[in-house]
Amino acid sequence: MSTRVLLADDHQIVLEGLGGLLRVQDGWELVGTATSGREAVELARRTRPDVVVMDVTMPDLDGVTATRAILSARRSTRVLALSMHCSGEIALRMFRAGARGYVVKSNSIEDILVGIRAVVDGRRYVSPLLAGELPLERLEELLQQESPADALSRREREVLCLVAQGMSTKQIAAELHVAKRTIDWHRRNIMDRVNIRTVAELTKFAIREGLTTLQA
Amino acid sequence: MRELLLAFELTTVGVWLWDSRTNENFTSPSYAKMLGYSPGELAPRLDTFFELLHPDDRETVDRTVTGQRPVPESFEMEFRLRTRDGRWKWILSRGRVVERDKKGQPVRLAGIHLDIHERKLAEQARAEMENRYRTLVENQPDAVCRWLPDTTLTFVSEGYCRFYGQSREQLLGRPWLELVPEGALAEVRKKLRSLRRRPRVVRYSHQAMAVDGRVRYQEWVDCPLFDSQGQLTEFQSFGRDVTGQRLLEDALRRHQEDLERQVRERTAKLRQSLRDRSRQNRQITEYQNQLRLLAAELSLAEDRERRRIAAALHDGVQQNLFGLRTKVDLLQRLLKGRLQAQTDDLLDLIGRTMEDARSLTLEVYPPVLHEAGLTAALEWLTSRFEAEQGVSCRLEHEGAVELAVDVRGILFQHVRELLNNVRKHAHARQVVVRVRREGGTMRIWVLDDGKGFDPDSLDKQADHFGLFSIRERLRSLGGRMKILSRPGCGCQVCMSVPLRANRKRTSSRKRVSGT
Repeated sequence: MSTRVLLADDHQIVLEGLGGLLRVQDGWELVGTATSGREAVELARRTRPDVVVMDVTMPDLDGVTATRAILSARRSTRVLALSMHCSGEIALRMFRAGARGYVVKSNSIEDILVGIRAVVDGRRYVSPLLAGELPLERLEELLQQESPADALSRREREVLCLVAQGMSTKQIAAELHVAKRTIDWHRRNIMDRVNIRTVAELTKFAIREGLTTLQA
Repeated sequence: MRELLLAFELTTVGVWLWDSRTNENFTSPSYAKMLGYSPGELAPRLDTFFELLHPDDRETVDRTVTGQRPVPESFEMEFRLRTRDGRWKWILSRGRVVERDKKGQPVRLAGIHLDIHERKLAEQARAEMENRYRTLVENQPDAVCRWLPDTTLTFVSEGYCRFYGQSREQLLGRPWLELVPEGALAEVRKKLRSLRRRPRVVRYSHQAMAVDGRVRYQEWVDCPLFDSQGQLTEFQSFGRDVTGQRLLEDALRRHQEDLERQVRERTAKLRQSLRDRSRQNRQITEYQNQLRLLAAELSLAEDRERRRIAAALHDGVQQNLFGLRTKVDLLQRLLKGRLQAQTDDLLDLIGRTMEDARSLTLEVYPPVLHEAGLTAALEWLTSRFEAEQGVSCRLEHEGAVELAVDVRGILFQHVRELLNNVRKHAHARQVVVRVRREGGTMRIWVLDDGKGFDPDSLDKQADHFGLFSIRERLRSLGGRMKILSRPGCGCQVCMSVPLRANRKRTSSRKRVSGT
């Protein structure tokens, strides 16, 4: 039985290249490709993959939030984070969200394949590029420490992500198909939980927590 | 006759009787006594008289009596006779012919001597005083005059005549008011009226026309003179030519006015130049502020641009390169060993380009700064510095600090520039970057144990434009930079910015757009 893989990355060229590579690998099956966090959550629910290769920064819904969403729906899914960021901080956030491995988009394609195999085998994995900053041995210890963003619910992270992208309350309400007042309520809760008062700081918080892209 | 003479003994009058026929000259005892002799001590001859007579008075006697032909019937004269103790005594002598011969020649003369010595001395003293006074009045250059209340002159001194160039005869009896020039008349008349109404000593000056026709100034002191009934009779005036003094005074006054005017002009000029200066200063300050705001704008714009470029590199170029890498990798696998060299080349090139893009991103704006904040970025920067330079470089901090995104970027770039300076100039063995929050201020130190420099000489070195630029940019954020260094003693640079800099920058931005 082959390993079912779902690819989520907002760069089409990455999906094409990586998708092609996975297809030619024996024993692996590419069950779908998603270009946003929400699409990834939706596809994971439908295709029930063994492994989701998840880009960290994506529009709609960031990798951290999408990972939480996928895992809360299906605990057994393995998530391998894939990111251009060579940063222990960001990796740690993905691990906190439940990812099993973190691979840096680098020169070495082999690294990704090794990472996928590792998480399928039930091991944790960190790219060699990042191993100095974030050694696997210290991972458990670091994961014990709480991040403020962990205090947010999935919906709240979703709203925060959209706020950070510069959307108004009305736009967010339309995007998530809920009432404007509901979004207001979420925003108040988010601000209370992370103890932030302004939209600008909220945006910074979202950026720092890797909930949005640099361009936001 | 002798009896008669004796009768005079009781008086102080000396009597004499001369007979030409015997040349005998009888004198009364009072005559001798007057001169300090005992009666009989003087020989009764006319020669005795001439012996006693003062040599200077001989001429008087000759002129009055002895030299006269015919001898006058009576005569009176004054002369000095020598007393017994050798002094001279003034004597008034009156005499007359008492007997003549048939030809009319006097045969006997008789007369009296009166002691007038005291009176004569008093007269002489008075004369001498008068003389002295006259000399005083006449010889002094000042003008002295006396005049009746209607200004008619009754006395003028030599000096007065000299001043007006007129003789005493011309002046006396004329009112001096005629001598006052037209221009000064009104004033002088007013003075006169006041003086007549209330006679007193007054001092005043007025213009006067001098002999040479030039207008001169006289200062007068007028003293009223009264008769025994207390009635005003005359005025006596002393006048001095004070033209020189007046001219001097005028010149002085003109000088003073000139000086004051110059001082006023100079003061005005100074004030103007001060105003100009302060206006220029204001302009300069304004320009400086505008420049600073521009610098702030520039910093912020640069930071925005860096972030934009880094984002484009990171999310666009690098992602695409990665995608390309995966595609070529797939291609190589599909080719199963064919064109291996070519695809290896391609992969190698893509790999190198990816590395370039990555380090360019780090150079422009390390993603860690955006993702994990300033402290994390500085951690990355210092460890990279240590790895690349082989110099101990550590970060000291007290945990993450919240900063506005743009301030964070600017501070990071400044630390990077300071570390660059350390790398280029300091030859340090140890470098420390210290981040500390002190109240509402964020402080970042860059410390090195390198060769140091003299901060005062910084301005002259183009090489240190970077430090100047950092200082100005920090100032635009409301911050400051302090440099502590000495040759041979390393260098400490401290940058401080207020944590709440956002509001200030927003308002300054508004000001720029408004100008």
